[in-house]
Amino acid sequence: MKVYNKKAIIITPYKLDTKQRSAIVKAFPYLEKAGVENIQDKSLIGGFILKYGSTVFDASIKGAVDDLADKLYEIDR
Amino acid sequence: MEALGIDFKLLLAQIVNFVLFYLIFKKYLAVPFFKYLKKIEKDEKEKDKILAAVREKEIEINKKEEEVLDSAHKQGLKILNEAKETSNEIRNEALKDAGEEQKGLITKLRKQLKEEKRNLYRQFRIHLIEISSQMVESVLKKFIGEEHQAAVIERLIKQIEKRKKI
Repeated sequence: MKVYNKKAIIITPYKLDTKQRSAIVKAFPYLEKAGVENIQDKSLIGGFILKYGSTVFDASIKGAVDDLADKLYEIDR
Repeated sequence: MEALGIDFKLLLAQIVNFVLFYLIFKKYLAVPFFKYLKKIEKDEKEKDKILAAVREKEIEINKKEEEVLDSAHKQGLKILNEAKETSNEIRNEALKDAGEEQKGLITKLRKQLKEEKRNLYRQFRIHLIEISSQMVESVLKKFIGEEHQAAVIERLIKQIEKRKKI
């Protein structure tokens, strides 16, 4: 993933505490240089969505359910 | 002769009269009379001939009439048969066309039915997926609360780390 001088946005259903935030930043080392903003969206159910520049990493439960629904839509019969 | 009551003079005069009558008749009347008779006979024969010819002609005409009638009857029957055949052909053709049209219509309807069935199935599937995902989401919302967030994030990060290693 390319590193941008932009703020990373982490969307979660509940506000992240410091431990959770640092765990996510540790998993994505390029976030250490960028500032991180946490936005709350209850519709995600669980997990998080990470937006950084033009990159979106969806690790939310809602995203997983939507992926599953998309896969079901794609099945022809 | 007188005793017999015959007048000789009168008899002579009658004989002379008769001779004169005979001569005059033979010279002036007999020939045209016989000619007339012959003409009448000839005319009669001619008339008979003409009558025979007329009869023959009549027979011939009757025969021709019969032939014409027979021919017309045959012609009529032929035309009638041809008309029957033509009408049968047209009927069969029409039936065939109708059959083909019906077949085409049935095939078209079957196709439409199949298409509609497919569309209905597709719509039903879409609704089913939508309802299912909404149900899953609402159930998950009920069971996953703030207290589970840390565990969920930890699990996700572990998965991400694992993928990184692979």
